Amino acid sequence: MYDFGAPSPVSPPTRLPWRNQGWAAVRPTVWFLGLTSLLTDVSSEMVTSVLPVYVVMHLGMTPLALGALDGLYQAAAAAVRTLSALAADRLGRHKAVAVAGYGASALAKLGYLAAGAAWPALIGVVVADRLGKGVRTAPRDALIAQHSSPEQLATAFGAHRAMDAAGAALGPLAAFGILLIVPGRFDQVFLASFAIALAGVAALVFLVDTPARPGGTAPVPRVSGRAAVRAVMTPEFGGIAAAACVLSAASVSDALIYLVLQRELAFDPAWLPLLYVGTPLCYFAMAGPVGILADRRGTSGTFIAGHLCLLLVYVLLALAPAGPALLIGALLLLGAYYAATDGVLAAMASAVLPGHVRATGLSVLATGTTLARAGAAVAFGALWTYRGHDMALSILGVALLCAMVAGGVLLARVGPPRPPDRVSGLV
Amino acid sequence: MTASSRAVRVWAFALVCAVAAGLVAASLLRARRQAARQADTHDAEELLSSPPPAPFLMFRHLASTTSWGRVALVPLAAPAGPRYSSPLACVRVHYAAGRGLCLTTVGPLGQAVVFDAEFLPRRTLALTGPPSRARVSSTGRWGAVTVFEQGHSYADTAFSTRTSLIDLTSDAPAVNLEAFAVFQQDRQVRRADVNFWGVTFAADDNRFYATLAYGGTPYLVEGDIARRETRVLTADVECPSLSPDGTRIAFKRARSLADGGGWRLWVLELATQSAHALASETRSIDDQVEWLDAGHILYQFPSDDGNNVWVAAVDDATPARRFLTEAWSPAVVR
Repeated sequence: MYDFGAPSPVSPPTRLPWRNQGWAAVRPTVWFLGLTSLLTDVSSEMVTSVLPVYVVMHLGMTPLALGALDGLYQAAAAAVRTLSALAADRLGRHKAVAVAGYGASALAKLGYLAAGAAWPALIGVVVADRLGKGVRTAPRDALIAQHSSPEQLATAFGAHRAMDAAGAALGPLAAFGILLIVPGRFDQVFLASFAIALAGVAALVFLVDTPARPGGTAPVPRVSGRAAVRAVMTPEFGGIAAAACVLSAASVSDALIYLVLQRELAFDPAWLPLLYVGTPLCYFAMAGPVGILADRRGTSGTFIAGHLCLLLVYVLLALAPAGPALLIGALLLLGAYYAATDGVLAAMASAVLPGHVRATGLSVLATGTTLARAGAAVAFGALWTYRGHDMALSILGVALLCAMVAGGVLLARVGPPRPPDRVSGLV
Repeated sequence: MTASSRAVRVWAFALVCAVAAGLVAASLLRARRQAARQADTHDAEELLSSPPPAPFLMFRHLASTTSWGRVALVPLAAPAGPRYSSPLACVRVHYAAGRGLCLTTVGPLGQAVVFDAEFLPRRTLALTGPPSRARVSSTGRWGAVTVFEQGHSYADTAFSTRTSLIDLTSDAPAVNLEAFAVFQQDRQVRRADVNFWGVTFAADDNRFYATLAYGGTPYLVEGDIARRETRVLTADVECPSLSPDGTRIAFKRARSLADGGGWRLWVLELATQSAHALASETRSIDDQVEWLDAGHILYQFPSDDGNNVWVAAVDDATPARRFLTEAWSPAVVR
C-alpha cells in the first residue's frame, strides 16, 4: 500500500521484524490523544464539507465573503497559537490549554446551529472554530512528546497523525450519510458534529493522563517570554526550523494541486471526490509505518524523502497525461508526503526542544512553516497567472530540489540520525 | 493514577459518548418523524394534473409539502393558482424550448441534469462544487452552469466560481469558459485568476453575456461561442440577464459597505451604455434575475416570511411585490 519513492533510503516493506515493537512502544496516552484528534477531525470535516452548500443553497448567500476573511483569520491564528503555547509552557498545563482549544471548537459547532442565517454571527462562529484549532495544536503535540520516549517520537507522532487522518476521511462521509437520512437538514449535521466533538473533548479530559513531571511535585520553572525564546532558539532547533521553512517555501498545498488537476488538465470532475477522501486515506495508511521507519532510519532522511514525494507530484502534474493513473499516483504520493513530513517534523523538533518550552517551540515552528507555505502559494499563483502552470510547476520543482539540498545540509549539521537499532525499553 | 480512578474515568468517557450518541439518534429520529408528518399534513395540496401550456413559469417549489424541492409549473396568467409538480428535484432550474437544466446537490459535489419536455433526464454531468446559476438559451440549444469552487484562489479556504457551457442537444463534453480567449480593448488578457459566472444567452444562439472577474473587479463581457472568445464591455456588473428584446441587461452591482453592503439591482442600456439603479427595489438582492416581460424582472429573495419570488418594475418606482410564494429559481417559459 505504501510507496516511499525509489531513491529514499528505505528498506523494502517485507522486512518488518520491528513492526510490533514500533506499535507497542506507543503509549496509551498517545492513542487517546489520537482518539481525541480522530473524533475532533470527524466533527470539523463534517462541517467543512457541507458549509459551502449550506451557505449557498440554504442561506441564499454568496460564500465569497467567508474566503475574504481568510487572511485575517490566518494572522489571528498565528498570534493565538504562539500566545497559547507560551501560556501552556509557562503554567506547565498543556492539557488544560488543549482542552480549552478543543472545547472552543466544540462550542463553535453549537454556534452554527444558533447563528442560523445571521451572516456576521456565522463568520464569528467560523473564526472561533478555527482559532480553537490554533490554540490546541502545539500543546497537544507537546503532550504527545511528553508521553513518548525520545527514540520513539516519530512512531508516536505517526500513530497520532494516522488517527487524525482517519477522522479527516470519515468526516465528509458522516455528513453525507446524515444528509442521506434526513435530506436538507443541515442542523442535524451541526448537532451530530457537536456531539462528536464533545466525545473528543471527553476523551482528552478523562482518558489523557497529566504526565508526572520529572521533578515530581516541584514547581515548574516559570520562564519569561524572552527567556523562553532564548531557550527555544538553540542551534539544533534553529537548524530544523530553517530546514522546515526553506522546504515549506517551495511546497504547494494539496488544494492548489487539486486546482491544477481541475483547471489545467482535462480532468473528469466525477473523480474529484476520490481525491478529497483518497489523500487522507493514503495519509492514514502510511503515517504509522512511516513513523516507525523514521525512528529506525532517521527522521531527517525521512523528512527529505517526504519532500521528494511532493517533487514527484510536481513532475507527474507537469508531464503525465491526465487519467486515472495520474490521479492514483498523485494521491499516493501526496499521502506519502504528508506521512513523511507533518508528524516527522513535530518529532524532530520535539526531540531537540527542552520540555519546559516545547509547546512554544512547536508553535513558532508552525507559524514559520505556515508563513513559508503562504509565500509559496502566492509565488505559485503569480507564476501560474503570468507564465502558465507548466512553468509554475517547473520553477517550484527546481526550488524544491534546491530546498531539499539546503534542508539536507541544515539537518545534517543538527546531528547524525539516531542509530537505527536503538529501541527503547520503555514500553 | 490508581486502577479505580482509571476505571471511573473510562466510564465517564463512555457515558459522554453514550449521551452524545443518544442525542444524535434521538434528534435524527425526530427529524425523520417531522418530515413524515409534514408529508402527511400537506398531502392535500391542490395540484394541476398536467403541465400547463406555455406561457408558464417554471421554478423550484419550496412549500413544505410532499413536493418540496421539486420543479413546479404554474400558468403565467395565474401565478397564485394551483401548481403542477414535476418529478424532478433541483436546487436551481432553467428551461426553454423543450430542454431544461436542473442542478442538484446529489452526490458529494452535485450534478447537472439535462431534461426534456417530459421531465425525463437526457444526460447527467458531475459538478465540481455547490450549484449557483443555470441558464438555457431561448432555442434550447445551449446551457450554462455556474458552481462555487473551494480552494480556487491562492488561499485554501477562499471560494471561487467555475462556469461551463453545455451543448444540450449532443453528448459533447462541457466547455469551461476559462478556456475562451479574453480581450479587453483589443488586447488579450492572459491571467490565471479569471473567474466567470452568470451567463445569459442572446437570441442568435451564439452570443452570450456573462460576468468575468479578475484582479478583484467583475466585468460584463460579451462572448462568442463559435469563436471561443469574450470581450470586456464594462466594469462592476454581476449576473447579467438579457431582456427578451436583447436591448437591455439587468444585473446586480455590489453596494459599498457604508451603504450596508450586499447588492443593488441595476439596468444597463446596451446601445448607450447608460445604467440606472432600480427605484422599485432597494433591498440587497443576490440573484441572476429573470425578465418577466419588457418592463419587469423576477428574482428570488429570502426573508422572514419565507423564500419567495418577487417582481419589480424596471423603469418606475412602483414598489416590488411578491409574485410567487415559497418558490425559488424562476424561469419564464414563453
